[in-house]
Amino acid sequence: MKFSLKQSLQSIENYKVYHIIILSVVVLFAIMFNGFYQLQEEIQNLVEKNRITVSKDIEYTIHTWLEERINNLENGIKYIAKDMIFDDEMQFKRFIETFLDQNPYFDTVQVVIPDLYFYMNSKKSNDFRENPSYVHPILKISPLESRWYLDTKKFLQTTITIVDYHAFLQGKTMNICSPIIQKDEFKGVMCGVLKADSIFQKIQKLQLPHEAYYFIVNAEGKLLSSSEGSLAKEVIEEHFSKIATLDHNDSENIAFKNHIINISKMKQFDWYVGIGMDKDKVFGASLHKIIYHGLALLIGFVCVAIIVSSAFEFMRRRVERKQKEYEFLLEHRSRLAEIGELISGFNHQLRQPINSLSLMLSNILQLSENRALKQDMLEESVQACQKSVQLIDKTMTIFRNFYRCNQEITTFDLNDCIKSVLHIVFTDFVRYNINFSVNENKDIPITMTSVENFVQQILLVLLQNAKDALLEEELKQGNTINKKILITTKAENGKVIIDVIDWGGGIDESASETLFSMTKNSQKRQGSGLGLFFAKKLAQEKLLGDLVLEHSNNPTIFRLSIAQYLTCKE
Amino acid sequence: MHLNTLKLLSTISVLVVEDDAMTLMAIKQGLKPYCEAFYEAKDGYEGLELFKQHRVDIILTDIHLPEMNGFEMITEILSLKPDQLFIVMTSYDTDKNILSSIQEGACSFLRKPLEVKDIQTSLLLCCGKIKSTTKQITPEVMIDYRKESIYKNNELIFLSQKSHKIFWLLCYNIEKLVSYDMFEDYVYSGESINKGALHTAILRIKQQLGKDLVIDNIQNQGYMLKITYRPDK
Repeated sequence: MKFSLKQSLQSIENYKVYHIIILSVVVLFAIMFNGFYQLQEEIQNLVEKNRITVSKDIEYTIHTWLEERINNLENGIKYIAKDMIFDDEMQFKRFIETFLDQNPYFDTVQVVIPDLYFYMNSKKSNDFRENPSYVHPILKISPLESRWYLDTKKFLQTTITIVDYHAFLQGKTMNICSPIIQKDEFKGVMCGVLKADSIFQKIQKLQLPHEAYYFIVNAEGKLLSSSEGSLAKEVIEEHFSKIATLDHNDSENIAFKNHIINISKMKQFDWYVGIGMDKDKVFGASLHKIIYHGLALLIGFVCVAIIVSSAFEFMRRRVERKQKEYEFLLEHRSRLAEIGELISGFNHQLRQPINSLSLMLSNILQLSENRALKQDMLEESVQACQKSVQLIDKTMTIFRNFYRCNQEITTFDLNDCIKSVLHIVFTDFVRYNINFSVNENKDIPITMTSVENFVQQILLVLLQNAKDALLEEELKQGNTINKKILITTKAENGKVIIDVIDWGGGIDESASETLFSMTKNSQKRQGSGLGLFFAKKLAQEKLLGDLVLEHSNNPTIFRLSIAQYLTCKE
Repeated sequence: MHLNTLKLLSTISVLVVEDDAMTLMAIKQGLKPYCEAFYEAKDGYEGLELFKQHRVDIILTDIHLPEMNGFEMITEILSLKPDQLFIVMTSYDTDKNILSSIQEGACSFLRKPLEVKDIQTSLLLCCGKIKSTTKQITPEVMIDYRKESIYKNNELIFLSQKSHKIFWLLCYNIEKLVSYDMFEDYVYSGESINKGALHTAILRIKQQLGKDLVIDNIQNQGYMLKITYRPDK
């Protein structure tokens, strides 16, 4: 019972191994996906933080940049206003030249004193005293009507105006204009002019995190500058025309399609800095990286698994080889033991006929010496001698057949087969007064096709085993036990079932578990414990059957069930 | 061996117990012509039965026998007839076998393969050990062990078959208790006995052989033959 349980447990274990492998792979993937998800979140957070920092950075950069220029300009203006330099044209011209000379802040300077003149880059463009209705020849606009002048005059403070086309610098410019005020009286406007690009060039030098971009719009939603990867100019202008409503220090997050955009207003003027990023692109990039690393990890894992499993396989093979060697040695040993038993049986078997031969011959000799040898007596004796010789011959044939190890599949009668085995052990068994009967002496003919020699070998092991058990029990109990071995045979469902039954000591629970195992030789059931292992092996591997302990005590029954008709399988 | 030598065997009866038919036949060939009687048995039980039925001087037995082995049989026989002579023959001359043979009191130990000469020699040697053939048990009665015959006043007398066996069982065990079991076993072939019938039979023997014959009844155990007569020397 226990044995079969152990076997089923074994099969469950085999089953489980696959489950464990599949389960661990699933878990691994789950962990990987979870890691991927978490990483994604983490990256998102990082990008978010970075975005805010960048936004501040840009603002700060612009702020300080402008601050410097405004300070520079205002200082200049203070000088002009204080000493009324603009009244003295020569002195004013010199001041402008000095101001521009090696000035890192402005590309050029333009000054409008509406009562006097309009100076552009230390050169007088127009004298309003001579030509009050001056119109710029290229721009077709009077400086007094241009936006920078009007704004500055209106607010009486420094303004920044973007001019689409500056005649002198020939391009888009930024005019930082401050009013010239003397004794609370507006006298004119002085502007430091820069190429509009220069501020944005400065900003573009800022490091932006991956996949993030910035853009700067003015209050009207007009795009002033943007970095690569930004939304299209039209889109920004369309969507951000309304942001003028933002409060001074506020920043606001706006989601647009897949873009997350953080808008904040600049302190000095109505410009808005937007830092945005495309979620999909960020995730795409991180996904790409994660997949790349994840795959590398997976491949590494698979490699390790392969290495480990092959190492394990290698070890297993080595152990298996060792085991095979051990098995071979044991088989050899068991065979030797079996041969020993057989030889002793053979010896005993031959004694009787040799004994009777010797007696008979000495008889004839004596009678002949005494001249009392009668013809009929001589004939009778010689015939008896012949019988003995035939018996010897028969015994030798059976033994030789038994140990010729004929592995051919033949058709034979089971009874004859059993009788041959009994013949081999007969003398030995009689010697110990062990009786045996086959099928209670009823003749049940069973014809089978199998390897007769193997069947005999297994039966021999079982008989020897039973004999040993009986003798052991006899030693324990004295002469009171019934030393009998029963063999029953039956054929059913294409199987031949042979039971070998004895009333010996039986097999206790603990021993029955390891009864058929290889290592059991030391505490065998007094007999060929080793033989049982190989007998079982033979039955399973060569005869398509099995050898089991059917009943462990009183009586002890070993059941050999093998295929009745074995087809050539090799 | 010369015929004259073999003639010495002519007064003895032999029981051979051997399971191998061929061997038995060969021994028979070599002994039967020279012995007074020759009995053959195939196993211990048969040997025991033959012993009970016939007068046997020497038993020649194999040790390894089916059903009941040689030693078991010998033990049984010795319990009935303590002076029985026997020879052991075996293929397995193990120390254990030889020792057992000595313990049981075997005359001789023969190793197989045998030769007829060896058996004959052993038998002859054993002949010498046969108990003095005659014994005066009362002033009137003398018994001859070898022939199992009884003389009253030097005249041969015969008892009935049962009485004969009862008397001889007592004679084999002179001054020893013969239990009811032994009577049962030897005289009545194992059938349980009627104590009254046995008592009657013994009384009849006493009547036939004279008053001097002392056969005591030991309560619930059996009988004992006592010899009160001491011949003058």
